[in-house]
Amino acid sequence: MTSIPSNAATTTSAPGLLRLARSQEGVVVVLLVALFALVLVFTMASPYFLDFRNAMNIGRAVSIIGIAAAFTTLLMIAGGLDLSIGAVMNAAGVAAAIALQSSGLGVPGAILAGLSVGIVVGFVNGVFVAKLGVNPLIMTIAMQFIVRGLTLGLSASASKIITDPLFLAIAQSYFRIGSISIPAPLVWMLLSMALVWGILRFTLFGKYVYAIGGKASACRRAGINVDRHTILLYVISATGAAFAGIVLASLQGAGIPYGAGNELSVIAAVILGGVSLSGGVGLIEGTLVAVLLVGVLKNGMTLLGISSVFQMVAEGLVLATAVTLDRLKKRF
Amino acid sequence: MQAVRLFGSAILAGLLGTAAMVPGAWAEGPENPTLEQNPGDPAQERYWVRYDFDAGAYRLAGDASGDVLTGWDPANVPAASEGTLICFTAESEEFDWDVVLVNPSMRRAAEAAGVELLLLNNAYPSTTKPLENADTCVTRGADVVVSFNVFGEIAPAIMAKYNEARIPVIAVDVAHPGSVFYGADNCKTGILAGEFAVQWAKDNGWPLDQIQVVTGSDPAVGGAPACRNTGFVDAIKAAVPEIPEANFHDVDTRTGELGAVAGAIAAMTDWLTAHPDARYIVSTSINDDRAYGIAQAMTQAGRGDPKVDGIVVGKNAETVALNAIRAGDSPLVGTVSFFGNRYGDYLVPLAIDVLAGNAVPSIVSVPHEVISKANIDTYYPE
Repeated sequence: MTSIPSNAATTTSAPGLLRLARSQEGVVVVLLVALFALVLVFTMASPYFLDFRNAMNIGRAVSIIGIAAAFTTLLMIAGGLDLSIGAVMNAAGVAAAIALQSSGLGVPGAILAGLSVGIVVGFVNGVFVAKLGVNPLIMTIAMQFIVRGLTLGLSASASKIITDPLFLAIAQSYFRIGSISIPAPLVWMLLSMALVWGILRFTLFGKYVYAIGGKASACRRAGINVDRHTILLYVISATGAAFAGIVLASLQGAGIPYGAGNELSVIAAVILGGVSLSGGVGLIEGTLVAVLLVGVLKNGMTLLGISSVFQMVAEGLVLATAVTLDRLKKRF
Repeated sequence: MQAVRLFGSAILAGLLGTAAMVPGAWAEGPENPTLEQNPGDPAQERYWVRYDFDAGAYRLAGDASGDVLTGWDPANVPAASEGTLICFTAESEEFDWDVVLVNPSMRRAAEAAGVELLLLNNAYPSTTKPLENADTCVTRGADVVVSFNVFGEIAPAIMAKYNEARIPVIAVDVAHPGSVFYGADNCKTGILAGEFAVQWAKDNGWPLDQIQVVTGSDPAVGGAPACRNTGFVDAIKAAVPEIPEANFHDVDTRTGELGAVAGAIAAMTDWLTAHPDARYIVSTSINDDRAYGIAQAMTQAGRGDPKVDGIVVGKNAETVALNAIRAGDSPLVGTVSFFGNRYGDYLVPLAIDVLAGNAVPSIVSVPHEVISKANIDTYYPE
């Protein structure tokens, strides 16, 4: 029987509220309070904010980052880091589009082709990090360059237009519940979050994730195959990014080999959600609320006509505030 | 294999719900010439069109008269209705072209016309932000949209949202299927730059068969801007067919972490190093930042005398190029302008005219002009 470190950061001496504030759940509560405060402010400031369609717009806008962030949360709780996820997203979209055009396997084949990109990239990242001891930051930056270069090269830097209605429906359709229409990308994000929540909460693998992030050496002594789990986590993270890339390609109606990388937005959301860069700490609920918080902030500021230049500043300030509060709470 | 494909598709269809399969309500028909038009093709037919708000699509305006090339005049547009909201999804709020030229012209023109302008940042090179902004325009109940999204590949997804909401769209610089087009012709831009370069070579007595043609490309920006370089090459080949194929070079000026100018300097420096004896260089790139970088590399290598070493012709008439041309101490001796500082003067009246239900041209081209030392004070007085 192995001893697994607890995933709840507890402080027996601190009473009541202070203890809650220091816990992982406390981070989620603080984020929720901030989210509701933002909603309140924007509701009062803009007549267009508190509207079901606008809420769905926010959900759709954050969904791609949210899907990738869900799976990256697993990796980062285990102390890993993957900066190749943005490149994987683009590559997976292009691979799916090419497969759709040429494989004859239809939409399932296209999805498989896209996910394969993530599986391969994640496996290579994982092997280099876990087995060869390469620094994950360096390894995944290198992989980002490799994947971007290959994507541009293999696609001849040309976007692959997608016209298959079923593939387009992956992100351009709606799930209807009575009279309510929920954009499909939002549903995929929530399902991704729920899947990761289930893994972390109910599986032995989830406990290992926290344990490896908390102290990998202790896990090794306890007989846990850390290398194998680390490789698996990189595969899961990159495959999640690939899935986000497939949804993105469907949303755009094209597999686009270029464009802005999303890796920093994903990692920022995970950190804002309370996952420590050093690993061992974090909840998927925090990532979900953080993704929504950033989405609400951007949407509200846009509706108020605030320049995107200041939106960038605001996003940076929110992230800086979150990590500073995280540091401070450990001192008191 | 077919069975696997059908089985998988059936599962997906079941998961997503068959009622939700259609991405957007595409109002189309043979009477809508804006669905398929290529503004860069000189043979492209132009039509008078009118927006049908019931159908959510432009339709041929058979009753319109006058020359479709010259008949539309922004001065003849009626006053805007009270409370008109134009949603303008700007290319960026970062680059000189947008921040200094296009976006201020839109704000100025909207204010003059008494309409509300909602300016949203498409955050180039993001390919997701234009889609988010389309949702915002729809939610805000825009009366008309001016879409400055340069990624043609996502234009159908954007248009699906506007078509469903029955909002007329004017696309800027890159055609969107189902919208009126306004803007520059990338290929023409390249051709004008090429013709200017050839004339420079002739004026300075360069041996034409020894000209070295260098284009600064960026494979990461998509297909449309590429014509700014290929047009340049085509024009030079047409004018000087005796230039050997080996004298045509393409350098990758992709924007790196240090920005477009630094990327172009690095790439061109490498090219100059690899071609130590090259003279009579005529170069261009997709925009002025990169053209300026190429010119900087030539100057830093001690090969920047425009009379004997070579010249660079930029695109966009951005501040950096205009300053260099005016100073006259750089190989950057020209830039092709399509007057981004006047975009608003045309786009806002065009939007108002569309909303008024009037016939407008399916394609509104902007004037193109090579700006050089000879005419800079005429077009861009200090």
